[in-house]
Amino acid sequence: MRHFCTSNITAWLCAACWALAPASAPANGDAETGDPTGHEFYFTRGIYGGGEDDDWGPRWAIDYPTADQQFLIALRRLTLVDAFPSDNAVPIDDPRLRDYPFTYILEVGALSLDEAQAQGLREYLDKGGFLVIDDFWGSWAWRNFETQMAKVFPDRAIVEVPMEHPVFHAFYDVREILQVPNVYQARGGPTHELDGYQPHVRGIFDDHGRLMVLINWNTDLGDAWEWADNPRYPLRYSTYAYELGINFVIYAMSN
Amino acid sequence: MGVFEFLFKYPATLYRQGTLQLEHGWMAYALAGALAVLAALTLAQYLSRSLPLRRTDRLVLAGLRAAWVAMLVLMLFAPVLTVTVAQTLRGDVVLLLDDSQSMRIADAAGMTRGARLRELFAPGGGELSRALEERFTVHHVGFGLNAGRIAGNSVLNFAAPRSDLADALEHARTRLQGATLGAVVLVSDGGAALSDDLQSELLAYRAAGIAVHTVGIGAPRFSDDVELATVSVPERLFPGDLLRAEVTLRQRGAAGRQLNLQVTEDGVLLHRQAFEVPRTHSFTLPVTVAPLKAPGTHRLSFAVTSDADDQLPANNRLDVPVQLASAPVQVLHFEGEPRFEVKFIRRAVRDDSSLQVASLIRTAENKYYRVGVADAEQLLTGFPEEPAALFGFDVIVLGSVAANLLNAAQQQLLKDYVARRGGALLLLGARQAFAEGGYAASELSGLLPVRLQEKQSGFRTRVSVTPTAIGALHPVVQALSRTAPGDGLPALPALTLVNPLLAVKPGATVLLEGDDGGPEPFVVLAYQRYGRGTVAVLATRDTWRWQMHSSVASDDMTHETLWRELFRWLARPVRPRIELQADPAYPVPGEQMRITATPLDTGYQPLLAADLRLVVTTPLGDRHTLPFSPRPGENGSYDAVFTALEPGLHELEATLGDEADHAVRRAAVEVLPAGEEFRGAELNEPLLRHIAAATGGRYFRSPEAGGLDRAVADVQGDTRIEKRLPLYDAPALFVVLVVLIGAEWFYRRRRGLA
Repeated sequence: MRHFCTSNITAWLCAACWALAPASAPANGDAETGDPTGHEFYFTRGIYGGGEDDDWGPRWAIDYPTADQQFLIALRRLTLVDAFPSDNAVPIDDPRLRDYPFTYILEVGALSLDEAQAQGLREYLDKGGFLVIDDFWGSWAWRNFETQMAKVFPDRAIVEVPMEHPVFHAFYDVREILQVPNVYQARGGPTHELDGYQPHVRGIFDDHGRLMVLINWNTDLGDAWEWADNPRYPLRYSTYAYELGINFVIYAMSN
Repeated sequence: MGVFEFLFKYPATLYRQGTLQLEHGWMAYALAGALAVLAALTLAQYLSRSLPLRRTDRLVLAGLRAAWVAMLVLMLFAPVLTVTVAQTLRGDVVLLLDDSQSMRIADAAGMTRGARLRELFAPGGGELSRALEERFTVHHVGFGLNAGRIAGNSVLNFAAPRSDLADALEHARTRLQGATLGAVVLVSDGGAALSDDLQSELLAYRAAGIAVHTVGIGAPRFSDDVELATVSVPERLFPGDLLRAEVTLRQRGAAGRQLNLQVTEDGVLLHRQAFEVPRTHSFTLPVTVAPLKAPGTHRLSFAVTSDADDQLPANNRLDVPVQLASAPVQVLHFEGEPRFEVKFIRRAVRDDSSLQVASLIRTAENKYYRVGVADAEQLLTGFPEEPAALFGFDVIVLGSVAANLLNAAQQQLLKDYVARRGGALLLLGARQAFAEGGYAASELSGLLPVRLQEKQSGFRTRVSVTPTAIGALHPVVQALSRTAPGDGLPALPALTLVNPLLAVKPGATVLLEGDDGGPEPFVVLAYQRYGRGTVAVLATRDTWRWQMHSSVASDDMTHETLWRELFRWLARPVRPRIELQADPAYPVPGEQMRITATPLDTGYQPLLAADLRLVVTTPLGDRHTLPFSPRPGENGSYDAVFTALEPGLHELEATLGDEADHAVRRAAVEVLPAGEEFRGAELNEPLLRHIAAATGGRYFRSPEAGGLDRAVADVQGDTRIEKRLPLYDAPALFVVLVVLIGAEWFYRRRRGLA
């Protein structure tokens, strides 16, 4: 399995993740420290209600916390970001979310926002927060997500983020959009789920052209982070997912 | 002629002032010797036994003869009275007569100053003119902006918008070189300042030994007047800035009165404030005018409402040019690691077209992410190492940048940037800042306004921010306090400190403090001047919480205000590449204005051969392109000369270099209309006294100027001479001689010896 580790990034990640994997019990960094000021950056996972999955538990917690922790290992190793080293899950309607200008939410096919949540999210984003959406597939999930985001921004369009946008070049030069499959499909066969054949990176911009919401549709960066230490998970996808994720963080902290 | 003067030829006063001497010094010794010999011979003759005389007769006769012979010898040796007297030959005296508008003020013995001047000094008719003309050749010179000889009363019309005393004195001294200039009489209300030119001219008079007597016309204090004296506005403002002006007023007899000050632009009222006139003669009103929006030059009129009692309503208004920068402030924000402060600072200023922030973020060991750069090349290789690349920024922000991230050349460059270029440096709190970033042992520690403590890597506390007493008066803090909701800054979310800064250096000013409940407040915002520039510290690590925190309302602008005001304040005093100065600052039509430019190269070193041009745009829209020429004796400074013909706003644009190295500086000069002479128009006795004292002359108030002709005669510097008045023919000497001879004859007769 070591033959998968052909790049510097992945070689290091493999070693680190092997060591960390057993300690992947859910934990909330903020809850542990009670202080959001110890580090510059907290990888904050947004907790939302509804969408319970029989097999995987709450949908907000898919890949949690391993994906978060393994992404943070790479982020801390490869960049100078002073990142809190562990996961940090915060409900999206919790005022504490405003202490963390970067939030990651996934599996939004079943997301359901009430008015208060939508307003809270709108204020969070208008004030400067940055939201990354990941791991939802197909037209049904898209329609639901679109509907929910319309509650947040009724008058803002969701548009394709062009490849020349700085978010693709803030740290790594990402030149193409890959479809990152889940850990099972990565072993072979089609990489898509449902009818999500084409991966997209879309976004919602504010009036000044700042990217507020980054939407990874028909792709699963979280799985690539989570299973980066799995020898069967293709290096190509995990490398891409790390590059893209690090770009998101650098961009979000600077723009 | 009294008896004394008859006997001794000269008045007693001359004897008191003078000394008795012989015509030549050596004669005194010869006389003493001769007298001694004569006395000895005479005595010897009379005491010889050959004469049949009694001893008493011998002594009396010997004494009398010796006395009249001695008297005769004394007369032969030419005794003189040496006195120092004024040259009584007819000399040249110049009467410099003030012909400016302020002479129209009616405060001189119930008439206008001009009428009083005419009464005393008009050519041919003035009472004092006549007295002078009897003894001297008098030249009448009228002066305002320029000086010129005048022949008759009608030439003085008191219309000149300003009086230039230095020019008038120079005119008198240099134009009348052919004449034997003995003294100058300056008749004026002294409506001018003691300029360098005037000081130089007084020195020239002193050196030439020409006394300037001054005669003050007018009243040294008005009875009732409110005057708008000066308006001070910042040299550099940006669109959207509040205009904070300082208006200085002077009053006489108006204490306690309620007046209004208003500011207008093109007739549109921008600001109005009521005030009570204090008891002090001079006082200053701080005035805050609503932000001006459009870049370029604005002409604001400041005016005080006058009432019927106001003696001089003409001095109640002043038009002031205000320049709003059209080019944005260039800010370089350098971070040694990615931080949310970068994002939120950029966000805070994004709506402010006067601020342009280029962010350089070190994202990995040798990797940089640039945001907001001007072009693909800017900051490509990281933090600049060349002056040309760094000095283009007005403000430099160092965030979490360890001191050793900057090499020795870059640290020196930063010092030069502040000290020589006059830039502003702002250091932010962060884990790699201040002592925690290794600054205590770096070259940069000297720049900082704060004293660095021991390095405390794990230090972290949260503070609520409060203004200091002096900070509460600072424009940045005032703007913050206006914007902050509810209870002001302390009610805002606590911010994080990871650098314990507790003390500032002498001369530094603390504007904001941080309270974490401990015994001592932390320094949050402080600054000091360093060289020509400013160094400030903002010690908190996460001002973005004032934007993002859940307790901060969506429409709250405190965070935006903090960064906009901070950058604008830091950039305002930053040194421009072309310094431009007009002299006088407020000329009047017809007055020559000297515009001095000091251009600098991209490294802010003086340019000794600058390609520099000046364009003056008049109120009528005429453009005059003028050359600059090197200023003698001042390397790197260039002068251009322009004479405005009409009042109003004149815009100046100095352009340096070509397309490769281009810099432009814009300024404006308000050419004041007629009536300007009524500002500061009380009789300026201190100036006139100074002129007189500096040149050996005397000062006279107009009612008591009667002794002027004698003063001119008596006090004429080099024209005073030493005179030796002969005394050999003084009647008193003959009387003594005759008395002595007669006494001898009479004694002989009485004793039967004749």
